[in-house]
Amino acid sequence: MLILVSEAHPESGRVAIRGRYFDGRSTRPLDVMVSSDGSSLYISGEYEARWDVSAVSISERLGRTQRKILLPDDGLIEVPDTPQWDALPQQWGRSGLGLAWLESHWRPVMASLLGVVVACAALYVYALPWLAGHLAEQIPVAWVNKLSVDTLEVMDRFYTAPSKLPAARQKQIADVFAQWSPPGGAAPTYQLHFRDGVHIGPNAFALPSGDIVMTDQLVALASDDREILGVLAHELGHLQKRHVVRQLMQSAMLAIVANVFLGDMGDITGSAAALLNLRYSRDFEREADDYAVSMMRNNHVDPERLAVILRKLDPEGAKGGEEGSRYFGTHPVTSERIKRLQESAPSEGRQ
Amino acid sequence: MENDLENGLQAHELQEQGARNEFVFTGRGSEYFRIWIVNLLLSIITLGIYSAWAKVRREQYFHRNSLLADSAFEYHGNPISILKGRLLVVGLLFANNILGGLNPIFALVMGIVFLVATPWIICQAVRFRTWNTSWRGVRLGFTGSYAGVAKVYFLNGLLVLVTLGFAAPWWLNRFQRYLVSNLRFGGEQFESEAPTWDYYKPLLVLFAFFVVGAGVLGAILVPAVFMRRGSSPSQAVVSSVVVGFLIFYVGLYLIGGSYVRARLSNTLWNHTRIGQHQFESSYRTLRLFALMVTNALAILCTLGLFAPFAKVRMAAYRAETLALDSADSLDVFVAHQEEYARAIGDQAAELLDVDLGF
Repeated sequence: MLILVSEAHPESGRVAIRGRYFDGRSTRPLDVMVSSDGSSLYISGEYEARWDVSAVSISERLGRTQRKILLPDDGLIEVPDTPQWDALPQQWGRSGLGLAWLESHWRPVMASLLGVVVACAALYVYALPWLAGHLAEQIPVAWVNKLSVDTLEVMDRFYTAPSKLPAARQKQIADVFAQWSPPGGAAPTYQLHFRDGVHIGPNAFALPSGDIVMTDQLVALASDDREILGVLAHELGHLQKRHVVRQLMQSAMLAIVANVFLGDMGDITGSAAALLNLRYSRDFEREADDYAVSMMRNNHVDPERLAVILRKLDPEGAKGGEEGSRYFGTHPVTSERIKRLQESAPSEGRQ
Repeated sequence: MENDLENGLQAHELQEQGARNEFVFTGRGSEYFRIWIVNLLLSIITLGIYSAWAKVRREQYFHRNSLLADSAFEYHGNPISILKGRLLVVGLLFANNILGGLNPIFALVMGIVFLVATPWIICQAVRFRTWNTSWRGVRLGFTGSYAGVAKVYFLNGLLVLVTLGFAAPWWLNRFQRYLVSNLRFGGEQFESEAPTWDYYKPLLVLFAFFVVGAGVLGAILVPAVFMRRGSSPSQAVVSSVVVGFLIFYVGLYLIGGSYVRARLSNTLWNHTRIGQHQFESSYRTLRLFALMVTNALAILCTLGLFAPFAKVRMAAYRAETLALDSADSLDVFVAHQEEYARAIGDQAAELLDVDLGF
């Protein structure tokens, strides 16, 4: 380590600091003493010079590291960090950003810690979904359609078969749903398809192009057509709120943010982003449920009908399910969804 | 007696000329934590813009706390260049993640763009990092080129594909040797001749360990699951198998990772010279393993708050195990004149930092 001694300058009596001078062209050190009277910087020893303080700068304080005095001739002097130097930059008319002060006091550090937690939460809960919502509207419709066509093709090839439901029955369901008035004005344009859910069982999903797919198994599971219509209203909710595109945006942005801030932690970053993403997915499901509730009430059907079929789709979850699924599921726990549906104000249909 | 005297004289001569110089790291976790948290806050509230300045501050902290022969390293990165590079990378990632997710043709185009850009990104990142690092006022540099990186990265990579991965250690060896032997300090070029076989040994050991380990685990667990009198395995057994595999893989990742990292890093640096100065790397697998395990656990338990402490611990261990054995004095390096003149000209402004990460 550099041994630093402050001592009186032999000639002027000014306080001098011992340092090592480098000329910027070679790594050979020259022992020097540095002192200042406020207008000039005096260097003496193996290298002798006098510089106007306005032409010289000193590196900002950082931890307890060496400071460097940068000279106009590309030379530099390594000096230890001593309190004397803190006074000098002010004399030289140069001040740092004050970061060193922030970093060396525990109170601003603790405030920063609190700030980071609050800012992260705000970013996650409000900023990212808001930004994704706006960006989702900028995505060309043609691209969204392409994605949907591809998805439907994959589903048809590997998971579903043509519907075995009679055409008349299909038409009946579609016609009744078409007569339902959607909440809050125009419904998104949609196209209803029926499929035999060979590998996916009773199921329904909506693609961003407006294609809503429902499996025969789900139709069979319903004991009342109003249950089917409730599920369709839920899927229409996904379309109305553009959930697929928003989900895509949010997960992409989350991945980028997590990468930038947690970059060097690798696998942990990926799992954290995936976990955080699931909450967005659950929020979308709740939003679609709310849409279904208002659509059902609009058409004088008790939202309880949707709860009935949810109970049949997931009997385990309706009883409360496993504790972990609350945080690790793509959907909220079924019991929670049912409770939300039942808590929505009773419609005329119930009375 | 005579020998002793001669040795003594030689030792004395060596000392005169420089002898062994150890790297020293003086940073402290509690100190870096405060810098890190301030950086993090400012980065978040400026929506990432400040992260470029934060990177400069972080790099300065680690450079200035790394000492060789009593002199600290210095970092000169310009935050504006870092910001430009980051905007470029974020733009590319955005385009790739969002648009690529929607449109397969766009995804294909982006894939090709990334492929073509990879050697450029590697070159640019190494050049930016080295050129912005100095010691005693003399800067490091990188003499590698796009074509050179493309050759060792892609052309050699083809052989890895053809040999179904058997050439991978050779590929890594050539790639790292290319990067290191194109480093320069002042006018002095690094030379690296790490033998290929020394890359094969640890990777083969890891591979064997993996195969045997998985075999033993399978032999124990599979019968336990499926031979319970024909009945389907119970929930408890299945979850214990999953947990068993998980522990096995995490353990393998950590101990195998630290073993390979220690061996490869030692091999690389113990065969790297700069002029008359020989690098010496003495990573030890168990120390590295202990460090990685405790760091990972502490980061998990503190929800990431331990990360700055972990980084300091790793940097301290790296410095502790790295030395420069010199037959010559460290005072003789001279800046590269041409490069020096270029730095002052506008060409230095073209340097973009394309490295992403807070």
